[in-house]
Amino acid sequence: MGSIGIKLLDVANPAIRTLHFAWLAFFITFVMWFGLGPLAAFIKAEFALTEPQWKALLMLNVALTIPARILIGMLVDKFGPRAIYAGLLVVSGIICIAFAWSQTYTQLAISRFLLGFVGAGFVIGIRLVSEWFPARNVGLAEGIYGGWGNFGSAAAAALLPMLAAAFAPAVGWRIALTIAGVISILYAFVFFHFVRNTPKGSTYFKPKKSGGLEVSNWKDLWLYLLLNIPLHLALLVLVWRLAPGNLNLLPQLWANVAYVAIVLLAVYQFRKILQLNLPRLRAGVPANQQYKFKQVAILSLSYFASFGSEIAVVSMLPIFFMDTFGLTPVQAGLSTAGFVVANLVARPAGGWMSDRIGRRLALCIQLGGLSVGYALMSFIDASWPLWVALAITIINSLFVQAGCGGVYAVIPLIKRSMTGQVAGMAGAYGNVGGVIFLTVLSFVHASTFFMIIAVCSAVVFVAVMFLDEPEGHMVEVLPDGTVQLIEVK
Amino acid sequence: MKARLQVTVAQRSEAGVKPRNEDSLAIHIPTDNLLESKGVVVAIADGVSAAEAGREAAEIAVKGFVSDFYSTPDSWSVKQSAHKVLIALNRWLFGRGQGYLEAEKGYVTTFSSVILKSCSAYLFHVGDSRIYRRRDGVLEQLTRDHVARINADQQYLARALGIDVNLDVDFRVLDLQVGDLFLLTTDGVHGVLDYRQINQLLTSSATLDAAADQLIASALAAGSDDNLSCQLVRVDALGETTDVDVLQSLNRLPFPPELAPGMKLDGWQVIEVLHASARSQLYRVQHEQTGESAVMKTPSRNFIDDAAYIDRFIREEWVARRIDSPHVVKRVEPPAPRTFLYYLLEHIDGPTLASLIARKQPLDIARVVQIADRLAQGLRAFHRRETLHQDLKPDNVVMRGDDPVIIDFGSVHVAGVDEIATGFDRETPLGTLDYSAPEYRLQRSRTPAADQFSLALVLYELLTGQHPFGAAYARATCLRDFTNLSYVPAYRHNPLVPLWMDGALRRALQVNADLRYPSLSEFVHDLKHPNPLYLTADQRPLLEREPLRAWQLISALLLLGNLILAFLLLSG
Repeated sequence: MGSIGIKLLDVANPAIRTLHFAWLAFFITFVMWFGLGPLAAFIKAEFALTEPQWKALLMLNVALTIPARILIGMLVDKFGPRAIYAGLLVVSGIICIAFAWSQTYTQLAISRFLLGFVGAGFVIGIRLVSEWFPARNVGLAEGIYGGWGNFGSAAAAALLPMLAAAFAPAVGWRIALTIAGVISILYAFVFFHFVRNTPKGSTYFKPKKSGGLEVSNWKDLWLYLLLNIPLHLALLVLVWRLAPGNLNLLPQLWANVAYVAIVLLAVYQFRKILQLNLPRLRAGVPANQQYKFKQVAILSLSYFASFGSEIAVVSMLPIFFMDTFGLTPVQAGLSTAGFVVANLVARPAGGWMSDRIGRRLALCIQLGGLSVGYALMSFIDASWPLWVALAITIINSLFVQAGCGGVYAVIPLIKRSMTGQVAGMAGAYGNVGGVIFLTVLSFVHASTFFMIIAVCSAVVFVAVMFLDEPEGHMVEVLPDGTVQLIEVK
Repeated sequence: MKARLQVTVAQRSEAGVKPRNEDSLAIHIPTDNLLESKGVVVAIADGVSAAEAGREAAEIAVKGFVSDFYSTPDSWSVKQSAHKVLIALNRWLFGRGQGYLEAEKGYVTTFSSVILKSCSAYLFHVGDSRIYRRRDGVLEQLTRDHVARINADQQYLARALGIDVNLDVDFRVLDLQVGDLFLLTTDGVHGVLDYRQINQLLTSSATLDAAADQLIASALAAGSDDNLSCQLVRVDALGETTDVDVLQSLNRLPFPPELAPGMKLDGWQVIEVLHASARSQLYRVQHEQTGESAVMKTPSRNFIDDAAYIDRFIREEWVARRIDSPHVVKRVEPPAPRTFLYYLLEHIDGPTLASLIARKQPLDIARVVQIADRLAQGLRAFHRRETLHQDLKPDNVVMRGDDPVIIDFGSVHVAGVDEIATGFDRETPLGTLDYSAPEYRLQRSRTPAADQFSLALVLYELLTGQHPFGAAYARATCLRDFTNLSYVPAYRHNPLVPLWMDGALRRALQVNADLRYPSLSEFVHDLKHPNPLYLTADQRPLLEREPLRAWQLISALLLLGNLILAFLLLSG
């Protein structure tokens, strides 16, 4: 519907300006967040890292993002997207520089762990863009924000190794990351100066509580609680993997502190969910406010397989290409960029596909495609011609990113008033995917890692079969322009 | 041809032995499609004799109920509409009664009403008037008298309109049958006539008119010492059996899709998109047949299942119907039933005040005063209906020639209605950060003084193009922030603004609502006539004008004193 698109060059329009500022902020956060993988060769060489140590760094990179999303969501409620995004850019810029000048493995690990926070930037922009665009093109605007910002990981993969190579080998990677950090800090001020939380003169409503999801019946409440367990389980697994007796990178005391903190976080979350839902369920939920929680679970799993695998693969792909085909860091970076560059079009295309051929079918194709793609990737070895491996990787990435777009195309249709919370849940699952897959990687070889992702995706593919096609009124525009209602069954 | 409800009616009211008739009654039978969507309203009220304004109260109740009831949105059920209207009326009467020393002697009246719609009768009742129904020769009293009996001789009205802020109305729904006869009486009639007598009178009379005459005459003969009133309604044919209430309940009307120029909705063709925000869309539309121009407001798809939002959207239209002022935009009645959720407002072709301000030419002082006067009239039309606009800002005022017109009802607060419990949390509009009064962000109670504050802000901006408190205002969140704001006098930006006018603006812009003008008219008066209090710029003490400077000065003096003492001590 809606013939009115977004005129991206109309920078006189404050909404368009805000969109550009927002995706650029997201872009910068992703450059910092995914700057790790492409620089692997340099960092491993400088610190003489063992394979487990390196893989632990990759895990640490995504660990903090899960709880950070919750915290950032609350902060945005209180202080507005403008201040929080600017603050996030400054803080993560500083951490990024700290990482760049680390002298020991411990410093590397701690600063990387803290930098996981930057992955929560996505949520802030989503809120900001939704304030600025009317319903008719907010979907497109969020698509541009998400797709173009995600492109930051491609830029990191392509540019950072080149930058690093341009300087002396020992300090090149440090300078590359420092530049990213400085740009982030400077951009924070630009962002704060030019961006406003809401259009000037728009009526301000008290923001709704962005706490837990409201479910419709007791069965769904159980399902919801169940769905929350992996969020915390992923963190527990991570700590366990780092603890003594395993990779032995975390002192026992700290591991214990982390266990307790995660359990407390889980208890707090569960309490909030129950506080919100128990009174509602006891009173009974009106029929017109009911929805199926199953849908949320299926979409979360889909995002687990698509976005989760993406952030895991982007981190390990450069090293994988270097080890398998003997590429230089710059070549490996460019190959990895190929995996993410498709984001510019693939993510919006996934949404478009969903609109056209039906939600369930689109998701089925996307997940089927990516599980086949990962299965093929698991067979890549040195005997393959490089171009075939690259082609498979890029085609697979099209499915992965289309899958991300496909998930976000269904989310607003489950229950419009809870779009934010559902998106938050699915987003968190994307991060869980990253943590889980990277933890898996710390045990196994790349080929097994790809195969495990393929199997997980196949399982999710089966789950998607149970997705109900969202129903609703449909309107039809007759040739003379008359708008008519048709009932869709 | 659809079956339509048909009724025969009769009503009488006499003062009897009393000097004044404090009863009021009305029957309204719509001839258009309101008959199907709203029904026939029969209402009777007995102003309480002890109340000095009983007569007026009864009249306000009956007339107000009839006119407001038909103004409620089609999508509201009879129960919801009547309840909201009664709550608002009760507030109004109670508020007026507060002018008297004892509330009991204020504007108090009984109220009973029957609303006949398609196949049902809806009863609303408070006080000691009565509603009877005669079916198959049997007369039945449908209501219970709300009286408290002290002893055999004395009894008091326990419940009535205007006694208390809270209102408890008895509500019943009954099925209709052809031949049902409803009788509404005040205590002047049923106080002296019993069931048997009334039933006999109804049976023996040939026509309803004759029966009404007979009832009054018999009651008078029986020695009634009060005003006598009765209403008779006989059902001759039933309406269509569909339950319109259910069909039109809140969420049945679907949201319209995003419209583009050229599309048609219920005969309205979209000419252009005026505005689209995250909450709603405004289109300029023209009717295909009549050529009438209007503005169509449609809800945003973002809220398609948000009960609180839909409730507020529907209420906007209701408010638009209730407010009648040349300085407030008018609602356009749709000629055909709506198939989608939207409403229509008159189209005013003119610049908004915001665009006047954007021209960067301060407006002529006389013109601003004129605008102030008219905007105040518009706001008073809201306040008379116990409604606050809550979102007055330059974007929400459009100039029709020289005449400012207030548009947008998106943030209004209707006393009483907003307190009705619902199954969801109502949305709380906080107005626009730059223009809403401090009490919104400080969570204090909202009064018409909040609209006065916003009006003064708009006027200040018209005169100077600036915000009186600067950018810090939008950032203030707590009392500390607000007290730290510094007011820049309007004449600093625009030397043509007289001192006394700035004084008036400053008073209306007080952070503490109690320090503003008690009423809008006083504010406007001070804008038109120099108030001697504000004739000099520096009449306020230094401590109030420049607190920081004052304390610095005091400290400096104290320091000086100490130094002198120290010097004397040491030298001595």
